[in-house]
Parts: sequence; structure tokens; C-alpha cells
Amino acid sequence: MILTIVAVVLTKSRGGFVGLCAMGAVYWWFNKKKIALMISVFLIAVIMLLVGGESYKQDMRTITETQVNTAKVRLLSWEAGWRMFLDNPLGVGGNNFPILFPKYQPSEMTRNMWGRVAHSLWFTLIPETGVFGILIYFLLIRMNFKDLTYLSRLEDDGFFSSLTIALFASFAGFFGAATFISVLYYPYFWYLTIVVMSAREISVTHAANHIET
Amino acid sequence: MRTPEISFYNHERRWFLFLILYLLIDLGRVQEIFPIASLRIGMVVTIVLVLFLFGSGRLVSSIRQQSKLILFFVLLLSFYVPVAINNFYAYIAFRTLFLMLPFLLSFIILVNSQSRLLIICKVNAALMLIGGGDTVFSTRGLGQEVFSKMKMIFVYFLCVIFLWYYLLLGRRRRNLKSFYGLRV
Repeated sequence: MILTIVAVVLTKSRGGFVGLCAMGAVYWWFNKKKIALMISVFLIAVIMLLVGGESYKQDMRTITETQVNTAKVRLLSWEAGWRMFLDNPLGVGGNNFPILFPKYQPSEMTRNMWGRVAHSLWFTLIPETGVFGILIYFLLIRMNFKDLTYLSRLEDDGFFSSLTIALFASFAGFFGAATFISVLYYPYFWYLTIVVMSAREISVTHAANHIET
Repeated sequence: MRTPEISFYNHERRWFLFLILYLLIDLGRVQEIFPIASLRIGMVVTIVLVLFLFGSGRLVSSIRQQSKLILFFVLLLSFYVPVAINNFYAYIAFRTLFLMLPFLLSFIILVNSQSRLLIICKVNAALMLIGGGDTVFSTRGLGQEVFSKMKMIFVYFLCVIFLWYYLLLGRRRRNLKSFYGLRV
């Protein structure tokens, strides 16, 4: 796990950092040993600073500084995405956000930004797939969380409760990072969805076998 | 003589092996680590999964609420292909998710026990170790940069970091309970 965290730090991605924080928050929420967790978080933070160095600290600091160029451009892109959706509520089609971007780019962007991606899962989903895509995607999220809530209430030997926390944390990590990068068509969300589906089915079979015995 | 049960078991086991192979290709990028990219191994495995899927006669059992929504999403993406400003880009988005379907549906059918879910988990853990190692080494100019070139690899790390950690932890707890005789 430490190797993985080091790898995330080495990518120097702000989205990755936000994802890690989101996962940490879920871990905190579910963990009973909060003091031990605080020590772990402190150790992880030390590792991150040691591995990332001063440049990592500088990069992460820009997350909250909306006047810094990259953060500002990102917010402007999201604004353009929203206006693109208002103009095309049924969606502009997969991967077509970058094509239509120059038409909606704010006046603050002086040069033609053809080909710019939204740098956000949400602002890719909203303008590209429109109301139907939004509806389907949010229904999927809702069903996943409904299944996870069901799994978390099961009384078992620790398998499903552990898995539930893992999946909650995974979704938190994914959505935390995905808010800042365009990963709508990447496989991770879909993979997590099928893991949730399988876990739910396994729990049902498990419960039926338990009743039989 | 092989009974239908044994034949079915072997069939499912082979299918599951191809599922693992798909993971190794899609997330592990083995085709970029070893010089086998020209074999189009990803395409071959996808075709094999499709054959298994249709040959098993169990395609219907993979259709549940979430899988229906995934299919609707793919269908929605297909509608944009002829009407989008850039048809080719819309087609690429559709194709990306469409080609994922054989794996997704096979997974729903095949991963039907705790032991199989744990195998998937362990495969993910192994891939994560390889990916983590490659990222760390490539920033020092030593690795193959397979993963660090894929800027999104950290999203994958974030997704599986806790998945395997908790599963292994949960398993360890159960083993400890068994060891101390606490588990009935």
C-alpha cells in the first residue's frame, strides 16, 4: 500500500491527491481506532512530503488557489461545459466536448482552445451525454450505493463488511480524483460497478446457503 | 467419460482464466511490458470472451438492473455516432465502452463466489505492485514507463488500494478468529 501511495505522489497529480484525501476520509469514518489512524495519516503525510519534495507541496497548494493559471483555466472550462449543456441538453456526443469547446470558451481565454478536454468527469458527462446520460449515470451510482448499504448491514464473518468499506473508499477515491480529470470512458467506474453487483449476488447466495444449513 | 457437470466446470474455469487474462492486458498492460503487442492479444481475448458468453447460454443471467443501465449508456453513446459534429470521436467513445461489455458481462456471470472475488482481488493487488514499482522506477529513469505514461494510473491505484487492503484484512481477521476458535 505504501508503494502505491508513493506512486500516486510521484505522478504529482492534484486529482490523485484529492482522491487520496477522499479515501482517507472514508477510512476515518468507518475506522474505530481513530487515534491509530491519525498516526498513520501523519506517517503517510511525511512519506508524501519526503517523496514529493517542495515541488509537490507547491503543486498541491494550487488546488485551493483559483487564481493560479491551471486552476482558473479548469474552472473556465467547466463553465464552458455547462453552457454547452444548456445549448445542447440532449448532449453533443462522446468525446465531442473538445471539438465544440472554442464555441463556448469564455472570453478570458484569448487563444483558440480547440481540443481542450473538460478536466472533470462531471463536465464531460453533462455536456457530452446530456440529460439521458446524466440520468443513467446517477441511477447507476444510486444503485451501487444502495447495494453497498445493503452489504454493510449484513451480519457475517467480516468478508462483506470489509468489502463494503473497501468499495466505499474506492468510489470516494475515484470520484475525488475524477472531479478533476476526464475519466468518463476509462474502465474504473464500470469495473467497480460490476464488483458491487457480484458482491451483492454472492451475499444473496451466501445467505441462502446459511439458511439451508 | 466426462459428466456434464465436469465439462461445465472445466468450461467455466477456462472462461474465468480468460477473464483474468483480460485484466492482465487491460490493467496490467502486459502487452507493453513484453514484446507481444503485435499479436493483438487484447482483441483475441475479447473475441474469446464473446464466444464464451454466447456459447454458455448464460447471457441472460448477466442482465440485472445495473447491467441494463450500462447497456443503455452504451446504446446512448451509439446514438451520437451519426449525429455528432465529429462522428469519429463519438465512435471512439462508443467503441471504448462497447468493447468493455464482454468483460463486464462475463465478470457478472463468473465472479459468483467469495473465492473467485478474492482471486480477482489478488490479481489486482499483484498488478498494483507491478504498476507501483514501474511508476517509482520510471521516475528514476529505470522502469519501462508503461504506467507512468498512462497518467491515469493513479486513479486505478486509488480504486483498488483499499479494495485489496480490506479484503485481505477481512480475511486475516477471519483466519485469526478461526485460529483462536472464536469462529463457529
